[in-house]
Amino acid sequence: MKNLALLKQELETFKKSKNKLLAEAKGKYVLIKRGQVFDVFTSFEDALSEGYKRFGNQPFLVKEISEVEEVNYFTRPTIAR
Amino acid sequence: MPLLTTTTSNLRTSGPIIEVLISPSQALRRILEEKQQLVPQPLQKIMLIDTGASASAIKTGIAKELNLRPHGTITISTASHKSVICLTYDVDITFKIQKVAVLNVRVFESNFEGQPIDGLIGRDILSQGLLIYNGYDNAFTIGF
Repeated sequence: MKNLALLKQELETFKKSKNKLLAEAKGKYVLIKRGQVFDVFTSFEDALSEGYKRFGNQPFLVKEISEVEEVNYFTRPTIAR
Repeated sequence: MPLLTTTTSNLRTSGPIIEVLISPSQALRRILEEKQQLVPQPLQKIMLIDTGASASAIKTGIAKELNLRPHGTITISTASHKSVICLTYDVDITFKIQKVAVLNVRVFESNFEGQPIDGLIGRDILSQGLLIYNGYDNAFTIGF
């Protein structure tokens, strides 16, 4: 999708690494920048802080390691952009 | 827990709307300050408290105004869109009158064109507080 371009490489890296991450760190949060998995963290906040320390105000991916992506529901006709 | 009750002339039409300050997350502000870089000022915005939203959203363009970069994704489903993946940004949201801040909120950008709001306060934020909707008196109470 067009709007995901800023994290395209990171999302591909997550997809490639997902099985390994699930086996080793299910339920934790992974920090990814470009093609590299940097570390896993117990909390989103810790992963985010580390991302800012390493990369500053740049795009990076913090993602929960789970088998199924949680879907968020909106009763309002919110249009994603 | 400090509670704030707001009364409107017609709660049914306006909905429970509230003034907030949206700012870069504390984690980002800290790094910018350490590097002696410009920290974007908080933006004063109007948000709708939406119990039908499981996550929170901001109007398209706010992330750019705050010079935010994406750090995640969210999958959303609405009545017209199923399982759309959107980028997320992390922000702090401060309820202006109560001066209570909810930190590291993951929000996505959405188009609220034609609607007098700048975003949605979803159940992710409401999970940390109390909301009373008093339709009979055109009032609502919120507390954190």
